[in-house]
Amino acid sequence: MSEILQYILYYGDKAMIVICLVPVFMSLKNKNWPIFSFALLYITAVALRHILSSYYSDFPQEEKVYIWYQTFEYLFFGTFIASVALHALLLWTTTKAIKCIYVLMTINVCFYAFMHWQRNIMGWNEYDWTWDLYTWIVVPINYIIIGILLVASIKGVQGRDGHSIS
Amino acid sequence: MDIQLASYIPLLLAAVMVVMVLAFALLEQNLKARVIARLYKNAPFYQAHRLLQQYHHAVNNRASADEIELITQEVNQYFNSPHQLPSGRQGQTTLTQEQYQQFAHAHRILQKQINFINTDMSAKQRIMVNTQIKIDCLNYAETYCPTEENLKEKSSADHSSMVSSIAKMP
Repeated sequence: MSEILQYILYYGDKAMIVICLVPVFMSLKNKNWPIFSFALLYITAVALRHILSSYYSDFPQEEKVYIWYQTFEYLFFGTFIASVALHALLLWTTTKAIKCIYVLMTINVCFYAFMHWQRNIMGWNEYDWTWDLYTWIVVPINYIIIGILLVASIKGVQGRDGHSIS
Repeated sequence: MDIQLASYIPLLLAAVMVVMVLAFALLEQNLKARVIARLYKNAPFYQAHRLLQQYHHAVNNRASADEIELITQEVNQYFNSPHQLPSGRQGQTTLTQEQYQQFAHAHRILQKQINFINTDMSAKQRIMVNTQIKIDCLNYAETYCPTEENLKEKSSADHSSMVSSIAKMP
């Protein structure tokens, strides 16, 4: 594996926080409130996860394995619920982009649940347990989510004539 | 091997999320209906929204003609109720089902545009677009709700009087 790929996957959180600032500000400028709120929620989730993972790194291995997947799964689930509730409360229609993101987030959550099952319930622990399924599945999916957010925030709100107005 | 019940919670949550995403259309509809019923109970659009929901529900469930007739009557009553129309025109309007659906559709589009105009446009753009919307309304009325006079003669005088009356709209 090349150095760059390793860097991109392993330090995904920081890169994602930086990239995710672009859709936040762009959707703010375009007044695309659904995307803005979702991007804000997502950036908070990723930042929280980053802070938590650095906080957990002092813990002993067993405890880390037990807590890690659960809390991150709760974080994603909470983001999803908050977004759905916000959409319902403000009577926004859920756009295709956000539905797509929900599906991707579900895949992420399922993988967290799978890893939790594998390592805590079945007790299959490998030596380098952060550097396998987690990096290969969850991080790329997070990148895809942010890519979708970027595209959706560029598009902006559509006016009468079908063109975006900013 | 000692496995606590709490360690199954993540699996359960994942299953819940999968179900929620799969049944998302249903969930969204249900949630919105609940939210409207709770939060927007006193809003001016609530009654109209309720009737609309009832109508769509009846049509989607292939209700009998009698039931649909009943709902249509209710809708007509609502549209003809004193706070909806000026006193001179009460009881005059009766809508067929098709017309009602078209009106509902038009209303949805119009409301969207008006919200958009109020929140997102500059003053200059607002004037332009308001005029455009009035013209759209006129065209819509001419296409879908031809009055008897219009059917007899499509005179240009009639047209201009309608234009002027619509142009006075706030």
